[in-house]
Amino acid sequence: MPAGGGTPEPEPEPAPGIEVRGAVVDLPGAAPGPGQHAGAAPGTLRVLGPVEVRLTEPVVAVIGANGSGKSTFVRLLNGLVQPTEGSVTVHGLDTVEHTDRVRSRTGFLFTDPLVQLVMPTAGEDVELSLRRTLRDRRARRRAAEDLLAAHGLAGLAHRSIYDLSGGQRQRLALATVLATDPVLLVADEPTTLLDLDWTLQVQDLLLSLPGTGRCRQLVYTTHDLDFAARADRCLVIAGGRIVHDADGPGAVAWYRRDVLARRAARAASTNGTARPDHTDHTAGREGVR
Amino acid sequence: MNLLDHRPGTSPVHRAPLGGKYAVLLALTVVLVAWRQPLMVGIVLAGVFGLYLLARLPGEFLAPWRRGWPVLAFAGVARFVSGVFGPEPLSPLAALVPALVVVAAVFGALAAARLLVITTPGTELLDGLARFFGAFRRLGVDPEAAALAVNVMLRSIPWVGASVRAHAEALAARGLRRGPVHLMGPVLVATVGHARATGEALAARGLPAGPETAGPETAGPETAGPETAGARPEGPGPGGPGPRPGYTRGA
Repeated sequence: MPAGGGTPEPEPEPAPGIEVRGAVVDLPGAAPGPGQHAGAAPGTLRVLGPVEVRLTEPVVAVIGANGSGKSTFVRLLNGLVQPTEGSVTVHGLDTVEHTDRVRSRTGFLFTDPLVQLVMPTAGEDVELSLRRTLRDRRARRRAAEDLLAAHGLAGLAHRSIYDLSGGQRQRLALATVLATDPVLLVADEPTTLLDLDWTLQVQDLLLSLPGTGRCRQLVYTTHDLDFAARADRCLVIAGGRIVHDADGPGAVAWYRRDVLARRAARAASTNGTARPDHTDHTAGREGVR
Repeated sequence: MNLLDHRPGTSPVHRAPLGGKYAVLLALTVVLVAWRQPLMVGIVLAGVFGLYLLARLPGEFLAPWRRGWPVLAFAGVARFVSGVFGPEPLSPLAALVPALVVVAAVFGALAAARLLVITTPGTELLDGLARFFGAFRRLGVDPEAAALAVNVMLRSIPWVGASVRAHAEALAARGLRRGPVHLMGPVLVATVGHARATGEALAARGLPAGPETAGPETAGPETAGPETAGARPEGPGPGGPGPRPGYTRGA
């Protein structure tokens, strides 16, 4: 892959992939707790960074503990969170300089679809996504019905979003995101609220997307390690930093070993005289990368 | 079913143009406010019920009363008290009449407004509101954003209701009293949290959508601007496809 770094003009096509250069996210007004880091400015909490990574694989997973910075990391990719330092370039577009354009090419799927669905009924929500490209109301309605049918939601156009099942809601949220034909699809724990059948359905659907339509890349966070193992590349995040970076199965195996080793160490220290100490996530792991 | 959900149908009320519906609603409401006489309020109420019959939704007529009777009753009691203890004290029996009229008039206006909302698809409401707010474009109002704000508000009402129920259950599960005072704090916090999450989700979807926010690869006839497409009856607007100031940074 030719290095796309430093492309001066926003020509999106020649620079595929995501480039995160020294990105740091500091949150104001929060004191760092145990195991957390302070930000550069006084009185800030470092929730992420510095992160230096280049993602060109079609399917990228992000795993790690609760509160490790996974969600912050994926929110960097569509400008929902902007880096305090460093820069994030998505398919050739800087997320700070071209926030609107990055968002119009990036789809974002949230854990809770109810947050994401804005209109009262399923069909109307899909139509809302189509407003930008289809101004004719009847054409929009037809396109929305086709899209719903394509996602196995035919006949539910007039159903209230509150009357859909959790799986249907997440599929609907996905349909509304895909209606804009995004180049990059980001999903933050997309299967956490779903039962096994729906989980597998949504997983298969998500993983099949890169390469169809305009979609070239999928980035998702998850606590489901089987799901993470299906990715081409998997980042493990702890304490706001990438602590391991490998292919899906490799990173998952490393993460399992790491968590088990930490649990064993904690159990040993509880049996001894020492009180269970808060382990520094990044201590002694700098050599991994 | 929710109080403000769209009820699909093919009745004359469903097919009436949105502007006409708003005109009728405005007329009914003005009459209710201006002539607070029992006879007039009765006539308007009968008219509203007639519209529900015409929309083939007669069972829905009393729904605002079933859901909102405490508020209506409060308005009635307030009017009754101010009648009895007001500057021109009435006998309790005489004060009952204006109190009942207030309750009936507010109910009539609510029922009429609700009929408009439930017989109009949300997207049509959105389009209509955007057209309406377009008149205020010169005052710096972004019509799409304003229309979207109203829609988000409408759809958030059931969410707040669900949140109240969930918090009441959570309090009951811990053996605490579920009075409205105990609920107010947590529900308020949850609502603010939901609002923030909704705002984030809207931003992630690139909404409110302006034509100038579209990426370069969609450049084509569809990015010619909303005002030039055939679906907009008012034709090319003077403030149409031009970029909004401050919205296209670095472009």
